[in-house]
Amino acid sequence: MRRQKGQILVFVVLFIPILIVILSFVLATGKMVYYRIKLQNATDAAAYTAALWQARGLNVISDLNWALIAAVGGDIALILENPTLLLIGDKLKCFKAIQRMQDGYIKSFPGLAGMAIRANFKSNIDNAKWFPLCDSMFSLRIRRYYVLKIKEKGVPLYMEKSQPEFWIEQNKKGPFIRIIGVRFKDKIVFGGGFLGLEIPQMNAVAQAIPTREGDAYLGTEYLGGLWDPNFYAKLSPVSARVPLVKGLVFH
Amino acid sequence: MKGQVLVETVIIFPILIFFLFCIIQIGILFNTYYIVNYASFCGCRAAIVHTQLPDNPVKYANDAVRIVLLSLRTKEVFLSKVTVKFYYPELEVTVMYPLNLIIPIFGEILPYIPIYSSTRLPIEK
Repeated sequence: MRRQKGQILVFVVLFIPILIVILSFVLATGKMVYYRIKLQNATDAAAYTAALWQARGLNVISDLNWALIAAVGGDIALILENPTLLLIGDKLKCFKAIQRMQDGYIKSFPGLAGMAIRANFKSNIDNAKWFPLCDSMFSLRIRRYYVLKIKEKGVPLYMEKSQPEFWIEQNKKGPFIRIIGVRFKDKIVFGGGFLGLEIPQMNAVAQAIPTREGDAYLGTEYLGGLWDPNFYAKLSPVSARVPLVKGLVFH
Repeated sequence: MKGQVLVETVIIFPILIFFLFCIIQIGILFNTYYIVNYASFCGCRAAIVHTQLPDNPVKYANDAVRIVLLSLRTKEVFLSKVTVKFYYPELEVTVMYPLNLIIPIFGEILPYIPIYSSTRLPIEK
């Protein structure tokens, strides 16, 4: 009976390493997938935030375009068709004030969007950073010219419409923000990669655009782009040429 | 009584090997389930941004799912099925992946276990 004492030990020694290997493999995959989905969602949220600020800016500016019209006298045809407009005294002051307001929004909104993205991304995922994949933050791209032509004293003030527009065209809206989120390699313990504690670096890309109903597709002209303050943010397909493949995880 | 241990070992050994295979199989099953789950997420993410009219969300979902499943490095990837369903304003992508069993005798009775996973996300309209 003495000889049977160490019998099961052989199998235990055989089984335990296999068990550990399998368990660690499954754990590593599971954690990697978990963080990859989390990273994608965080990047989506960041891009969505940017597009939301852009849409907000366009809406505000569009509303202020209407205010410009109201300042002139409430007639769109007057602005669209008349070569010259009559602006005197208070009307001119009002007009200029609204234009200054538009400028303020245009200058401040991209920066606000950057801050919002940063806060959003930071609260959504740890050990990660975001970078814009476009040349700059979006711009609301004002293409306005100050066309107020002031005549001599005592004579009414004219604003010439034959020169480029004195409102902001929404259909010339700026570059859409495209964001890459990078989650860096975890360094917890030595040999942690074996147990799924050390997850490799991974990337995710997202792009969002301000849109509204009736906008057919990215890149097409926007119909009636000047006067509609109904923009909202939307995720759009990305065609980014960046290395997205790392380990098991693709996108 | 000397050969008794040997006989017992011979009887027990295949059962233990079977258990070993079962453990490995469960490990592979969970691993595959994670990957299939992730594939369905990727497919859904690709489909929701491609729902505008000239686009084909089903094609993009299929592509994204296959790319992820290829990381399993098995030929069953080409037997997998992707279903895209519209529950307006949401979209659901279901992935079926037939997992090949590695257990020797059991594998011939039941060669494949279908693994299903689905993800539902709101459409970006």
